[in-house]
Amino acid sequence: MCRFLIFKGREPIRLSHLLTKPAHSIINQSFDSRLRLDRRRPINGDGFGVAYYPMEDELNDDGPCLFKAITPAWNNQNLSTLADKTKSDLVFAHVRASTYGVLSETNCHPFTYHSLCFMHNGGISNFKHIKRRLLNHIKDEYLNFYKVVQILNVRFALFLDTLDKNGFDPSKRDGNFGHIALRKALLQTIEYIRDWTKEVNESNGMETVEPSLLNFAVTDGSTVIVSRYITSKTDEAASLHFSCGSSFVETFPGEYRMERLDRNQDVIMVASEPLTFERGDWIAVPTNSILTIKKQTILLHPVIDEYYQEDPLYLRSPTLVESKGFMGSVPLAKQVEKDVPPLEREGRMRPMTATAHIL
Amino acid sequence: MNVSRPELIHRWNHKYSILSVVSFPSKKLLFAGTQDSKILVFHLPTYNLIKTIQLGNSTETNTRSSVLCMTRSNDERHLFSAGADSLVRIWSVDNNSMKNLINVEELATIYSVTDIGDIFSITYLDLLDTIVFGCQNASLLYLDNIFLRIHAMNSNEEIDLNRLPHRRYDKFFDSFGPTGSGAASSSSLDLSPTSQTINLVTTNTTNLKITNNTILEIPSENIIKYAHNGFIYSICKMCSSFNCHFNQDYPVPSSMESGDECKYGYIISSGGDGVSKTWKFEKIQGNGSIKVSLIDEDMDNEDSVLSQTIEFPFLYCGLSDGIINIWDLNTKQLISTLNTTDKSDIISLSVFNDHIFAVDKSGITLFFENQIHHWNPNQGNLLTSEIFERETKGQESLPSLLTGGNDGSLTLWDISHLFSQRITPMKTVTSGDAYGFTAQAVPSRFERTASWVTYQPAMVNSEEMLKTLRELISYQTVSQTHDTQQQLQTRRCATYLQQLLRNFGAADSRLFPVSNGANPVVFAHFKGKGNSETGEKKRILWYGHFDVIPAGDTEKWNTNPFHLTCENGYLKGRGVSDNKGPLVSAIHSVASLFQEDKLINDVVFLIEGNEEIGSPGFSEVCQKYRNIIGEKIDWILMSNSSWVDQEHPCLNYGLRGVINAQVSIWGDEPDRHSGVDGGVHREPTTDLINVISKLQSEDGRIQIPNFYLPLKELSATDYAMFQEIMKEANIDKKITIEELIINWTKPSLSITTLKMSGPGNITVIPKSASIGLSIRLVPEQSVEQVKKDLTEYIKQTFAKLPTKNHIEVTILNEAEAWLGDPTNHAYQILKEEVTAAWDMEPLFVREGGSIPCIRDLERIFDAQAVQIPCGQSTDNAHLNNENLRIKNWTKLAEILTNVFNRL
Repeated sequence: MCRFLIFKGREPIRLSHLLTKPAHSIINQSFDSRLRLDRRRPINGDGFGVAYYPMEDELNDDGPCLFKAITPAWNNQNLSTLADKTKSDLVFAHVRASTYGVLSETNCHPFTYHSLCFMHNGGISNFKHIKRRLLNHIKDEYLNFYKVVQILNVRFALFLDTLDKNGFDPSKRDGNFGHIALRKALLQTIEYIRDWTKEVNESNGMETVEPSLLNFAVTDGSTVIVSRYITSKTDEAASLHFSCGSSFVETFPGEYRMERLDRNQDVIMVASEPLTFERGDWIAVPTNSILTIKKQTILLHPVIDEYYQEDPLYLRSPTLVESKGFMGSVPLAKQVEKDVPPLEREGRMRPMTATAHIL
Repeated sequence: MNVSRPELIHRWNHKYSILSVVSFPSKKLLFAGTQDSKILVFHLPTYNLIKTIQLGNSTETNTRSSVLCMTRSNDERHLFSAGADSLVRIWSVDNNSMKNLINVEELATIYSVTDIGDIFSITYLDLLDTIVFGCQNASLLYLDNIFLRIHAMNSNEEIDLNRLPHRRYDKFFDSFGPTGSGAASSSSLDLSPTSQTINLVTTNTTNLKITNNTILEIPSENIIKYAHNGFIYSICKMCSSFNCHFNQDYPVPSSMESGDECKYGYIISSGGDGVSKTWKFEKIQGNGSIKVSLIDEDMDNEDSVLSQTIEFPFLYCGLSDGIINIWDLNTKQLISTLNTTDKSDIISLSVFNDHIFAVDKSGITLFFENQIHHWNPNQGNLLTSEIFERETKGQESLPSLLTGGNDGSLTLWDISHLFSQRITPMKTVTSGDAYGFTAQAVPSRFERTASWVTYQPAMVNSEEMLKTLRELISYQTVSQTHDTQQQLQTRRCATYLQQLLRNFGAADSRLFPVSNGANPVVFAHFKGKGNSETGEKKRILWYGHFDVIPAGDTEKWNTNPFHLTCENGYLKGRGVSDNKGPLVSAIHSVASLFQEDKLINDVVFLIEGNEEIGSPGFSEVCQKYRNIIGEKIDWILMSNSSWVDQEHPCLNYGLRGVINAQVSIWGDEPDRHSGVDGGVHREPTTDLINVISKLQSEDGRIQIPNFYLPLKELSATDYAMFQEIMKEANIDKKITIEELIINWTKPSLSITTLKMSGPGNITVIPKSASIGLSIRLVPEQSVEQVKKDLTEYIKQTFAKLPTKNHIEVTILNEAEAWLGDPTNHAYQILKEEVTAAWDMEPLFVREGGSIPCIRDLERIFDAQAVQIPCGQSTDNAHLNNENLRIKNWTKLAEILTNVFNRL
């Protein structure tokens, strides 16, 4: 039950406004999640990581600052001090429950490679069967970047390798690959995993395997690309929401909301779980799509393949992701209005996600 | 134009931001949508806030469903609002019989079960009774037959239960179906969410009865997923009356031609992905549902489009960083880009009569005729704007600007003084984000469009022709400048011509885009009925151009150059002779033949907009669209020159060619002072004069190698013809036959411009100097050869100079010489018709001037060109006080009426 959060702003934000202060910040989510449906793995206690791009040009060369720890995030004094005294306009943060791999700092997200920063949420089905193929595909320099090849960072290695094979040098110190190149590489990374698992499953005669959940996030310091993807036509992908507006303001201690006055997307956040209790501030990234933050503009591209659902009203089943703890529940706002029809955004449509709070 | 700051009429204040505005001019109402879920209603005559409508439950004080966009129906009976709550609300706006009592009631709420996020843009297509809105999740949603749906629900009053929300709620839950994890699986949880929701809803039923609100759900098939790849910030609808006049990319359905109502509409949507997309909404006969198709997605602004507006034929896109793109909707070409000085996002854009009002957070920027005026209305950050016409007692309506800001202020400005000096009638109005005013709301405004809608009679008489010419002259179609205003007018003129030809009955009428964004070529095809006996018909191409030379110093004109003046039997104005006047004669003669069902031959018009700059891209267009223009053309006709005197009608069979070139020489040193630096360096001007002096000998003979080599002696027949002309024509008595021969049949070289860098002070040595050359060529000479010889000769001459300076020879434009066959069939028929019309035989003449594309046309269409001059030698084409005798003008139309059928 990993959670991640991305912040990109026209102006920098103090990290504490994202990480520690909001009542539903991902740090708080990591212990608060005991309240959730996820009874299997109640605590996101297996470490966390924050990558943020410094504001000064001098420091901003060759990638972000990275802070990781294997101790439970809510208990880390360093984190709370650091978050209170640091500002950035591009932040990647991740809290982890160790579904795979050993507990070590190298296994904590986000991962970085020069200007690039990467994290993900979800799992590849039957990874053991495609591992050899994957490793053979990737150039040594990307495999050896981390001393121990793990299922976690191998996705990042595959992404770097794909970017490289598309003619871009991932070790470029200043990033700036452009949104088209990054989106293409991320999409191809997903496609490789999708196709290989499919082949392996078919050749092994495994028809009903669990789908792979591939929520990836990558940035080169200027553009952010995030996928919400599942290799299933009927199941819902691991949850992913976004919110944007003019500013992120604290209305009461611990209670924040996104102020939206006009079309400005001065503040953009993408998160596994919403950070605020303002229901209307968050909108779900559609399953099987890629979200791009280009400058301060959000773009949405569908991933159209055999798992794409044409019917906009088709409701994917949340059972799988909920059982695996990948479905973030949406904080329930006070009832906005009563004489209107049921609406997903108001929490009246998805009782199973809302229930957590009704409980 | 004397632009001063608009006058503030009124300012209202509210506690929260004003996010959207819409005016109801006929009802004299303004609506403003706020950040705190309210719609404020203002009464214009009294400036009073007469109503505050709270969306949703009024007890909830911190509801945050901002009203982000609003629109209205043309008849001003309905208001549509939408915003951050993902809901579209439909309101009825009624004037109570008691004056000043306005009743605004919520009729219906539209929702979608998908997570669409905020609704940023909305429009209502009146003819289709369809609401269209654009959302944060990049999808475009629509609902057709809205009022039918509402009425259907209201008439079933007794089956109350079916329209209760909890019923619909259940129905909605049923749609959970396919995954199998709907109501069933969730109810297995300890605390059934279904019962929760039912409780919730039961408490609602009482509310529902009070509001009597109908709830409509958007069906799956009415959701266009990923209509864009970004938030859809803006939807503009094209005025319904314009829809009928789109060119071939927007085919007119057959129902239109039989005079039925338009049952389709177009919108242009845009948003975060920067692409402006055109969609067609069409009512399917029979079941009344709507078919939506993406017509075009070629207009890529490459940056977020935050606001849009249409003033036909232009689409204005407001982007981030203060950029405004102007697109020609006919050709999908980006014609101009404007920048605000502040470089912040263009949040709202209104255009009125070519005046562009761009709103960003710093204030309002007005663009007009290449002037920029900025003012800050002191409203915090501005968020929305709209232009509308305010009707005042006993006065005509006044154009007014409405702006809303994030400090909760709403201001109304009088901008009428900006337009008071305009002579031309107001053309179209679009404003706010989403819609245009229509004839119903403000009838007077659609004068021109209305005339397009109804059938237009074409007649060969000066009254009818004058109407057309007056309109054509009013467009400042100067092709030589890159002035945004004139570029827009040239485009507008092309659209006007294209629609005029269509309304005159052309079977096909469209604009061909020219590469590099040059002005489009107007094409039209009038179908002939064929020879009554043989059924055969010829295909005749009429060539003309609608661009003109700049008016120059308007002080030297006796009349306004862009306002047609008729005085003492003459037409006056820029373009009356070259070439708009003759063009109107040709159009009216063909159109009247066609309308009287007398047109025998097919006639196609090719009217370009770049003749005065050497017809760039024209021959490519001819080649590219040859299958549409006609694989086989029999004759090419044009009237693009004048008589040799004031009395004798002429037929022209020869034109000289031209090479216009510029020779520049520059040094490495900056501009210098002759006292300090004189004599030290080899000076560019000296080099230039040295080089140029070698072009001609002292007796004026052109020294370019091989220049005279291909020339032939004038034939005896030609000489006889020239003698005849000298005898007959009333040419300036001082001109000898030799001079005439030289002017028409011999090449020449003229030095036309001389420019130097620096302040022009007598003591400054210029860093660079350039000279313009205009070389006229005769048919024997090859343009390519002369160009080559000229360039080489100049460079060789320069190389001989002991200088370190640099030289460049640039060919600015060129045209081949042309020599027609005055004995061919067409000239014979023209001769007979001119003789009949003028009661004297025409003189066969040649001319010293050039028409760039004439030889290209002959080659591409494999046909001979013939040229019939229209005006007199005193026409002053290209000069001040251009004029054309009305008699010549109408006679040309009469002559052509016969010629088109006899060829």
